[in-house]
Amino acid sequence: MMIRLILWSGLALGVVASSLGVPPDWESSIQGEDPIEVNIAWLTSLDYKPGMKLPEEILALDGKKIQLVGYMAIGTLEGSESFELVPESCECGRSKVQHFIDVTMTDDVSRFTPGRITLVGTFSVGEVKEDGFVTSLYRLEIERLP
Amino acid sequence: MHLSRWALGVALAGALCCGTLAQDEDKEVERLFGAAIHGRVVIRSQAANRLVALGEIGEARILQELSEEGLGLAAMGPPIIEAIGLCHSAQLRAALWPALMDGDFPWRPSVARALAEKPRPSETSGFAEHLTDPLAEVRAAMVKGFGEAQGGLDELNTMLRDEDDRVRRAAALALLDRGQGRALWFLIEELKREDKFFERPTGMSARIMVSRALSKRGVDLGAYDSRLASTIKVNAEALQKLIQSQEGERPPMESWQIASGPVLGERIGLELRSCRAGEFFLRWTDTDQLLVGQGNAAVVTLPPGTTQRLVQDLTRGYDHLEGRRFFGAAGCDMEQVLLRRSPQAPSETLVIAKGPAFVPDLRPAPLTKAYGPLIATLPDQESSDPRLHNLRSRAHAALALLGGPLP
Repeated sequence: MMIRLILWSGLALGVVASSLGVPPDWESSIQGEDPIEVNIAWLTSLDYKPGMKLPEEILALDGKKIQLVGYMAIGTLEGSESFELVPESCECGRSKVQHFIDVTMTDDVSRFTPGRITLVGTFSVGEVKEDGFVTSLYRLEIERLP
Repeated sequence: MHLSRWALGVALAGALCCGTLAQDEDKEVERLFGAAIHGRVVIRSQAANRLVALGEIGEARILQELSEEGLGLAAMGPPIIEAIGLCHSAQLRAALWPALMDGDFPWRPSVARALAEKPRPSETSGFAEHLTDPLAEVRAAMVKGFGEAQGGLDELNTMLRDEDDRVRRAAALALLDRGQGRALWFLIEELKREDKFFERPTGMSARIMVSRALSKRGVDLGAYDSRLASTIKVNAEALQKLIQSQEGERPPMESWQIASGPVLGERIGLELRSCRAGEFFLRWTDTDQLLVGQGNAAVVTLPPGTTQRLVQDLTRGYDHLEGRRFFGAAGCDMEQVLLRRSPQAPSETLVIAKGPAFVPDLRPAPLTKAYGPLIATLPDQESSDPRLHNLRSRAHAALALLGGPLP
């Protein structure tokens, strides 16, 4: 019975891993509590309109430890506790709320780095509103910059 | 008597109520207009879209700024410009075409996207005129508008040969939307891409965009997952099925229309993005090859030892910058330099950025000095390959508009 349960758990994890499009070795990485690698271009190319229901694949990442690779948005303020992570260094014409990850640091402040950076942290997803406008859709809380 | 007093009361209350409503509406218009221009960047397009969704009153507010005393189109910025594409006002739309025709207008890609949002059949000649625009973002939008306005299929087929992948994708999708199933062959190539620009997975980004666009159109991609390599079993099988569903033979393609893999030995990268002069993607490899473009890049063979010399020059340029790797301010004009000091080292990125206005002496002198020998390796002849045609002259012109002219 126990063996069957373990097999089913493994299979279930495999299905989730497959649906997230993460590397095949993700099943083993989960056991070591390694982060789930998520593709930033995939997240930020979502055809999004304020108020719409987000795809289950994305909602399933809420609260998870994930790894994202991207660029600090040009214009990031030095010494700020947050910055925007974007899929390409040039994000002209892509300034909508789904186009970036709002990164906050619990133990660091921003210093602009122009190259690609890899971040690991806790992901949260869903609309955050201010004055009736959606100001963030994807958020990542990290301890510090790499 | 009583009745007329009552009627007067109702009329007064109604007038007051309407006045209050009108005041509230005016306040909302001003709030949205202000937010669309001066609000946080992330809310600007939401505010602009809500402003035009108010209908005539919102459109009138934008129109007011197009008068002689108004801000003008450029100062209202990209979110409002793009929202004009959703408007019914013919006057507002009419203001977009001259802006597109003005090579110095700072937000031409936004203007082009606005025009392509709800294209009119009467505008096909306007769209056609800009199919050869120097800016790929403009060409891509023009292709979309031209296709939706029922422009000619021959012109769309010609755009499948564009040097820029965004334009080719727009052309293939426009043809697909017009029932030209053959265009799917070109998108299948995009789904097979594995290329990178140094560490940046340009091929994967193309796969993600194309698979989303095809899924939206109801094309059955089976179990294809754009985030995974196109060669893994599940994706290879899905692509094979898609190929089998195609009628006829795969059409002949230019090299740059065909999927490719990553390049080994990239040592120097130079990415130039000018909102006036277009974009350039240049790489120099360990094997003395100059690669031009993203995806399946054009290859120019350089004399032996060229890359090693260029790496030394650029390393000296980097070392004179005392660790600074960013110059300028946020904006759409950008020079991005990538340097691998040794074949196995990760690339070191340096960015120079600015808005549409010229900034004197923006590029630091050591870098300008290192650029000279780099740019001298670019071919400058006429070429049937659009990526190589008069490349050095075009790159020179773009650099002059970006960080400043080279000596």
